Amino acid sequence: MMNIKYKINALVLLASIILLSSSNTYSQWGSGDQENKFYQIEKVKIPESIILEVGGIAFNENGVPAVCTRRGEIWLIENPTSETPTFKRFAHGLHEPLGLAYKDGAYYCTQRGELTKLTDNNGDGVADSYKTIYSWPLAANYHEYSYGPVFLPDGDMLLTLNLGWIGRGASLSKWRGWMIKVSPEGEMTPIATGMRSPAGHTLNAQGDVFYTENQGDWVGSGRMTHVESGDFVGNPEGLKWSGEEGSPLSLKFEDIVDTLGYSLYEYAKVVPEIKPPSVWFPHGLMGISTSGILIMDDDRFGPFKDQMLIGDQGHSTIMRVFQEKVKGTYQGICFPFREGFSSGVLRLAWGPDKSVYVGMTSRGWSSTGQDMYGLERLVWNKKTPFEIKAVRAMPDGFELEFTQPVDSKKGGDPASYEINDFTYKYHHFYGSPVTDLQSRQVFDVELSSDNRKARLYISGLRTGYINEIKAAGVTNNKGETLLHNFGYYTLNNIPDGEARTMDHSAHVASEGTLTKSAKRVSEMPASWVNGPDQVVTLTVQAGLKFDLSEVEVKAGSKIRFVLDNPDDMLHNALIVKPGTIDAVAQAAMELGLKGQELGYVPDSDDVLYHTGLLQPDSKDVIYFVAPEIPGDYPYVCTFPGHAITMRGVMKVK
Amino acid sequence: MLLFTRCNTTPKPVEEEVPPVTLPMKMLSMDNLNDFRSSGENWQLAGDALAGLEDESPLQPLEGRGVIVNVPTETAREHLFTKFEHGDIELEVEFLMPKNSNSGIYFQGRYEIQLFDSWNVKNPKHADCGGIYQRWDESKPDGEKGYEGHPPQVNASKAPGLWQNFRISFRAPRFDDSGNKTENARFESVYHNGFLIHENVELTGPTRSSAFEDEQPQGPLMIQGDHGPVAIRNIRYKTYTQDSLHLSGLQYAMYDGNWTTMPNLLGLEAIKTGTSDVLEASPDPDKKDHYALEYTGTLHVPVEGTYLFETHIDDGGELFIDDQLVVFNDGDPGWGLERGLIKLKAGAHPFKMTYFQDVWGATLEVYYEGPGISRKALAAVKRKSVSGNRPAPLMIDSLTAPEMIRSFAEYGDGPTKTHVISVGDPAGVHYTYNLHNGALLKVWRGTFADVTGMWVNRGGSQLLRPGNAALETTDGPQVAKLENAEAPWPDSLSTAFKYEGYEVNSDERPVFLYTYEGVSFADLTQPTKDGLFTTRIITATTKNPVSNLWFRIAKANKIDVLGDGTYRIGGQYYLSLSNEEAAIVREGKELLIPIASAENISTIQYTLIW
Repeated sequence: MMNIKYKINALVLLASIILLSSSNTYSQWGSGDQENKFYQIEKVKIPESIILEVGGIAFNENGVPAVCTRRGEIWLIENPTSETPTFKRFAHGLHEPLGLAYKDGAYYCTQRGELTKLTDNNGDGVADSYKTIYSWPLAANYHEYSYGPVFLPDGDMLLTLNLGWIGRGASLSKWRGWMIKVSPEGEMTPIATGMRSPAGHTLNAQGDVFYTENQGDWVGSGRMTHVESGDFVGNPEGLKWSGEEGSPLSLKFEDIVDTLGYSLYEYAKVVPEIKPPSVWFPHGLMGISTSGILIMDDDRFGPFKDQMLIGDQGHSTIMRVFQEKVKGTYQGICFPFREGFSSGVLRLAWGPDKSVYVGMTSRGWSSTGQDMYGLERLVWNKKTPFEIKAVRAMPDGFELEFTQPVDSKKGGDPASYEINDFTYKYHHFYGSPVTDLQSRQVFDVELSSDNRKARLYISGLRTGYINEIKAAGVTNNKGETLLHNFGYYTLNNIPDGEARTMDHSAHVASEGTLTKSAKRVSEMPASWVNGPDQVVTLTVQAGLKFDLSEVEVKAGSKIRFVLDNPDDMLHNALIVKPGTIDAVAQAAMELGLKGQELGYVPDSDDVLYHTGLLQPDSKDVIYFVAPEIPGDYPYVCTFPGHAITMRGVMKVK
Repeated sequence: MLLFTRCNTTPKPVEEEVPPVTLPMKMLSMDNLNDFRSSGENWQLAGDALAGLEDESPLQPLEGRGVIVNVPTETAREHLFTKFEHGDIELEVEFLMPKNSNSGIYFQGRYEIQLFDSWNVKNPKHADCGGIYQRWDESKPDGEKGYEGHPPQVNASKAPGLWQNFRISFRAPRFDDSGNKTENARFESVYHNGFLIHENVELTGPTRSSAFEDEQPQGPLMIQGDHGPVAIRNIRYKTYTQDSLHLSGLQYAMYDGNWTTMPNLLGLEAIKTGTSDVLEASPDPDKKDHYALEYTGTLHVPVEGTYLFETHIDDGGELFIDDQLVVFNDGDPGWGLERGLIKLKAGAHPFKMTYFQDVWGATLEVYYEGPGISRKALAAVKRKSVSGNRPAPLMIDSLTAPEMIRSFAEYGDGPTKTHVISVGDPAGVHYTYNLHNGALLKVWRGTFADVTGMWVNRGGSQLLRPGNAALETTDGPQVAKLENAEAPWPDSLSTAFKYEGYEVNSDERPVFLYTYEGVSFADLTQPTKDGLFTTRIITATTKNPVSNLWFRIAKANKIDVLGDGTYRIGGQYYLSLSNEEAAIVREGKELLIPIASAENISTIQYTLIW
């Protein structure tokens, strides 16, 4: 017979389970529930014994998907959409392949050290030939990942080679940091360099090649770049090999000067080999580790023909990109598209049913989606969401095209829109803060006759800057707001043409600064003549965790608090009032473009003490007096995407 | 790695040659028995030893020096004791067991590691080779007299007549001033043929047949002589006291500046000073980049002798003792490991450590080893690694079909091999193969693979490690064109060699394919029918006759020709070669076979037995 006390405890348990599950909807933009009304995520059921850490996906001519995994296996999946798909192991023993392609009856995969062709000659469903097409040297550094192959129309293949890691990115063996082309006979041609972690690449309908890059040393934020032979795309390590036979560029490592204060776009005016990105993905706001690219060749997935879907491993999301060419150069805008995938999104591929197969893995890096690996399908229910379909640069602003007609009043009111622009610094440091952030004034809006387009007239546009375009006030004529009301447009060029101007431009420079706050005391107070009462040291562990999930301190005692970050990502630690951890993490995310500069510390009374935002391989020491009131005071890393697992409790006794 | 050629204002360090990784071990003489107490006639000197695989095969000493051999008889069956006595000790020893033989190594004459012929024993006991022998209480009833024996974690034994090795770290019991024991003796680690078989095993007292009834801080090493024949060579050891170095009065001065090599700090003004009890790279958490440090203090040396210092530094730094530069770590390209030797007298010595940090990682760690002083860290910061505790090992075993895994692999003392494949077999015999040059690198029996380094977290090492003691075979180019039978074998791969990939045959095993100037090779390695050993079959196919094309089967410091196509390679394994008539052994070190010139298809086949 349940007594009342037991009943109440059961209720509390139930409530906390519900709370936990709702925080497990892997929210990044908070739009998952709305997105689900148009695009549903369906799990492909994977047998428990198969560790399907997806590295690549390819469909054969019968529409059967094959998946290569980081454990070196290739699995063919029959009836993937059924309750009991059949998994057949086609090949195994490959060295962490991170890309798979299928052509004319054979599979091609890029292993760490080799491009391999696999064929099943006797038709028993298992590969019996593993042919080495081309292999390259490795420096036995785990960070030397290799990607591809992507087939060119003429049958050659494109591969990209990640840099090694020695506490910083380094090109430790030949061609690391390069995109290379390999013929089916194994002839290799180096194409371009400057790459750091080129996790995704593809060709568009015009045959132009794009690759995605990850924030890191020399790379201010995630981005996508149009690659052509002879390009240098930013990280100078690969230039070590530019003198090798076949190299299409003679730019040398020593030619790149560090920390001049330029953005990559500005430095490209000085060094002609530099190809700046076509689309930047602002870090923390549009993912943290850009991955696979998928082109929407037609309107199979909404009114988005010729646009791209881009995965993000760290945030478990997919973004959408529209690009155009202005003065011969690619540029475009990224929008949020779908959040809530169950693990780190690495690969995207079209299924025969026009659903998007999403291959995932997060071992070693963690991700918002808490599963270690997975395979899901994103399915469109043919309902068109109310979205900004495209944004095009104009001589005097931007033209927004919507998927549905907008309300005349709301859509035509400049107050419905907000534009801010900023850039990133080009330097050897890991990532870059949002730099030179300014707001741009929308001084007029003109709607097209069908209300599907809004032309924004904006003053003071700056080329080479990333424009945050917000349309929060816009509704359709049913009064509904946009599913996603913001995007980031990389303005490489402004098109020629007649331009309207404002009489006076109202520049509002609004830059955040990280002031030395009372919540972050870095020097031991002089009054602590006997030193601290207690030293607490938290060490960041690989996979987004602190080493200690709990520390105990005495109420009112003097604490020397050390945060040690030997990891290769940025981290901080905030100590907050009991019960406020999720609110503070959310507030940190909402700092938006200013977040990094503010060390992701929101201006909130819930934050009691905090460290700085630590670069890889560094530590911070702060001093504070533990609260007088005993209780459980959580600590958390508020870098976007980290708060779910990087947390613990400071028990004040 | 060491760059003493840097030309700037820094003085050259004390020692000119490349310092060793560890201080040298002492070696017992094997040319005579002078390092041992007087022994019985059962102990003799030899140059090498052989022993057959059949029952009753005797131990055959070969002429020469360098090996001590025990052949006990009815009248001569004494144990062998070293003249030196030891407390804590690190020991390496090689031994060779004839069929069914039995001996033992007694640390301090009291604690036995069993030597036994345990070839092909599936479930080893304490009395098998490498076991920590049991203790014995005569007063207990029959069946309960033996206790606390520890079997080896795996049976890493080789066949009779092959040289095996132990690497053992032993910690002696501790006593207080009154002579009461305060800590038990321990085998900290025992490696049999390179594989860990014991870790931290405590011994409550002497094991059975100990030469002494009591326990003491010191005792001689003993090799059992009354149970059976055995050959021993290369006894190397380091004995340790409980001494250590320590630093006192450590102070630091910090300087601001933008350097990419070690700066000259003379005349610069410090931006910060302080005292410290540790050597650390970042004494000021607010200053992360662009600074230098100078630590000064007093180093207290307990005993005179040669000290080896090892620094792990990012970006660069110098270690000075008595104003002499001992270790120079130049800061290029970031993290570097350098060593230096210095002879020091006992007492206090001025100590100085300079350091500079450019950007990114900052590391400053100093390790040392001294005369009778085991390797330790000097004034180190206590720090947890990113990965925290050692992850649980991830093993692959119990195969139902051959399994292939490409990975990185260790081989000898050389650099990590990056293009290798390991093939595990349900028969329990496995190998690693070099895809770069077609060489068979290792073979082993037992558990297939330890893939912890590959699939746990990011897989930082990407190493596949054998699941048991592995036998390393010969790396290097497999095929070469030789002008004549005496021409030297090439060190590097010819451009005429092209590795093409592999095909998987109907037994699900890979057949490696490569070509050399128009000759196509198919290279298959598979278990023998009894599942105990490994056979390699290389088929060479050519349209036109080839001449002067050779295959190198093995290279070692010594190859014994045993007859009937059987060889003992480097004393480490047996090789049984089919069609051995055309094979040649060059200078007792290389086994080559010509690739048949007249036929279109020729086969080379050999079996490895170990």
